[in-house]
Amino acid sequence: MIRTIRSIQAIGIATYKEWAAYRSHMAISLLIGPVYFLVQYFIWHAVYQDRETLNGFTLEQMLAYFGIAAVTNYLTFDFADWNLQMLIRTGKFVTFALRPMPHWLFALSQKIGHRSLGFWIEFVPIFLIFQFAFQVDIIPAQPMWAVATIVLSFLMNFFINYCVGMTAFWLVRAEGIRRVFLLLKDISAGLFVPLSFFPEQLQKVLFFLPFQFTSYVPTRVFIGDYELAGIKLSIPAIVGVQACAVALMAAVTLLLYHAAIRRFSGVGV
Amino acid sequence: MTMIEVNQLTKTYMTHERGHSMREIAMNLIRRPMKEVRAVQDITFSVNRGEMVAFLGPNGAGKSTTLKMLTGVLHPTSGEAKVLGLTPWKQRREYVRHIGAVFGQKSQLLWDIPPIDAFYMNKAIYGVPEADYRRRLDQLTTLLQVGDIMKKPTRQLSLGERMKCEFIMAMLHGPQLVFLDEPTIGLDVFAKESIRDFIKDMNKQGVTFILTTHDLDDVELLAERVIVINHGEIVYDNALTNLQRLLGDKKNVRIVTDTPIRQLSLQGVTVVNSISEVEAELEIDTEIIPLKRFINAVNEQCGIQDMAITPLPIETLMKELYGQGSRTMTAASATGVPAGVAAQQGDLSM
Amino acid sequence: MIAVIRSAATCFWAVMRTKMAEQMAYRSHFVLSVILLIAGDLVVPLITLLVYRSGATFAGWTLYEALLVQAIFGLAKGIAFPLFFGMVNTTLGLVREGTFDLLLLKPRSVLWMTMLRGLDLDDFGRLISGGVLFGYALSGVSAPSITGWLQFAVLFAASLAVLCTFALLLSGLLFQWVGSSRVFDIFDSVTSFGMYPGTIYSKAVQQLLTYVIPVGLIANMPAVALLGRGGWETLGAAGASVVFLALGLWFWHAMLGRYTSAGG
Repeated sequence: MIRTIRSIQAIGIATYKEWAAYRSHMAISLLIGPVYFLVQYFIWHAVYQDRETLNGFTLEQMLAYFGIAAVTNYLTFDFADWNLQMLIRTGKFVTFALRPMPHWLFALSQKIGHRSLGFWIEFVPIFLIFQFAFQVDIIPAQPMWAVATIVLSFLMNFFINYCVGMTAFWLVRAEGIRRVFLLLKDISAGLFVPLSFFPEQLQKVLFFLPFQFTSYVPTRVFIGDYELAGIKLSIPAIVGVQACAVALMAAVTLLLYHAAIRRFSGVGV
Repeated sequence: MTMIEVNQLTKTYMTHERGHSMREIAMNLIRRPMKEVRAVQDITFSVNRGEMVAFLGPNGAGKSTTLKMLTGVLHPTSGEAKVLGLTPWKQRREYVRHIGAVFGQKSQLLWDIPPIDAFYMNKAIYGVPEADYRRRLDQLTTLLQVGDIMKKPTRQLSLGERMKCEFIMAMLHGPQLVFLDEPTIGLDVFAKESIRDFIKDMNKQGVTFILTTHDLDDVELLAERVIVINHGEIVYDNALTNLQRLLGDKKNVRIVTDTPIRQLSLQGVTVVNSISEVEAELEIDTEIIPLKRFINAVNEQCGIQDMAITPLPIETLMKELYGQGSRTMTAASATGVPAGVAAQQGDLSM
Repeated sequence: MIAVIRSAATCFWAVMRTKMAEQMAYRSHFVLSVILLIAGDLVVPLITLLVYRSGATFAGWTLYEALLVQAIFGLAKGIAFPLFFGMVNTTLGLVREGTFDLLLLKPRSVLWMTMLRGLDLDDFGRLISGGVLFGYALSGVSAPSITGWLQFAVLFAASLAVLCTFALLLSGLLFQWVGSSRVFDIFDSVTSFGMYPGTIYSKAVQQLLTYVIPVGLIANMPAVALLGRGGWETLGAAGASVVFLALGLWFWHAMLGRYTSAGG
């Protein structure tokens, strides 16, 4: 157990250093994040010209929604799917199959290192810009629950993406699948527009899919109230639901991983 | 007739220094210290039409920087070069029309489509007339025995087949000067042989070749002249055969004796590799101890059972040349003494 | 002059032929890739639809009018991406691998070689989504006048010039900023200003988006022309695109100059 934690720590630190060399790639978020937010700012100001609320959101809440979604995304962002597919396609996965640690845990440790760097370079500065320059209230209503939901969303994002990455064990050209899936994931996670804008029936479907737990749920937890498909839940309740969903997704990932390794060593992808 | 004339070519550039410790990396987030690197310093040499010259040197010595400048890809910091009467980096577009290049590790073919389609594309880019294109393609495919493989997608070709196609790609516009960068890397013995034969053939037809490689067989079999670069300077520029004389007349001796060799103590003899008590590999400086005397002495002291005498392997020569760096030969080339004369004088401080 | 153009055209077709051959090697991939591009380009129109469905509007524009802006954006991308944005991929990939030098060994202008190398056929697929959306949007607005169409033609050319400039800026950036695929994120974020009706922005921002970073020219201005709301004076904005393009060309060559005098 202690050895595993040490390994996670060592991999995390190595990844942190590796990416520190490319920090300018990450720091460009300081331009991109605020620019996207400015566009949202103008759009919603125009939309709210002749109304007070839209789908239950006031203008301030709407801007807070996009601000929080953007900022929390820097804490939970993930590209395990891309990375795993690349390893499989180029045949480099074999070097991981030979290590005394499952690759999914290795990848998760890498994500911890990568996001630790992102915390300083992306999250902190953009949090300050949004909070003070754009006057968006990002400070969560209930901080402890906010931390919990971020951790869960961090894991959820990883498990979903890792599963998408594993499709490359079975499919030759998994790249296309990955891109379609990610687009659908981002739409169903509420990154482009709050899920309450979708038709009622679709909202019911989205409630039972894992995607809302990556972005929509943490954003609503920050704001302090949760509602989807007419279902209103208290903050502790929705975080509890999120925890169950993450556990379920973790189980799916492990099952898939074992099947993938069996296939890898049997067929030698 | 001179084809390449290089005069005091120099290239320096700035690079970031990168830290290793956590603290240094944290500091680097704010400020990255810069450091000047002298890749090539005051290089001067010339090459005649029809020559085959090998550029040698350890990794990072400045070889590829020199070649990049000679191909017009990189601008030098100072110095001049005239190749085919043009300055490569100033008249790039006109210049590259007359040169070709093959890189063992960088493919110019297109991965998913047959080489023949890539040839056709190059024909349009170089504006090669149809008749010339047909004639050269015929000639090259016959010479390299390529045949139908150039109609298969590149990704299905073996490395040897692909390299042959790389050569065709580089020669279709009839270049007078061709740069080869590790052209035989990773190839099997048969492919190496046919590539080398092809290069020799083209050289006989008047094409000048500049070759860089780490494969010393390439050098021995192809190049009459070698230019060795180390630490950004030319440390040797002469015929390959003179290299051995340059480093003193040394021989490599493998010997088996009756009694243990350990007791053997002779000036000018160093043990390179002690295989067993009675078997060893020695290096002998014949200027200090002539072979005849060495054999007599060993026979008296230990009794010779078996013995093989060979010239120093080229690897050993290279290692010595790389190891001792710039202090040796530049004096000769800088003072304008023809390198050959300097080499024959063997004025080396060993 | 004619010889130069003919030789350039020969080059172009020879490269297009190999690109087509390349695509045919992966037909199924090509189809999938086109479908994905279309899906990706339809996300913003989808959101627009969702907003209008909830009874809201963008500063008084009808749904069809707003979609017209996004359709023109798609059409402009459908032409500019296959032709120009391959340059970004070319510098991104080749500078990182260290094989950009191979382009410098060809006896053609480096910019032309970079563009040829990057020609990307799948991106023509965006013309499908852009075209369908364009037809749909036009069906919901009053038919444009001849003047409107003429102004549209000039402004659409300006739109392509603006997109080409973006490609040059990003590609130039990659000579220095090796291997960062995030330049596409920069493009997407900055140009997202251009996907919505211009009047949602304040006057100052509108001026900024027309004359300084002319992303308003990509879709909004051509759409305004078709809707008959722009006078001939809007064509002055097309002048801004020419200046912008000149700037892009200068920047690209300056960065190439740095590239060929750096490194080792």
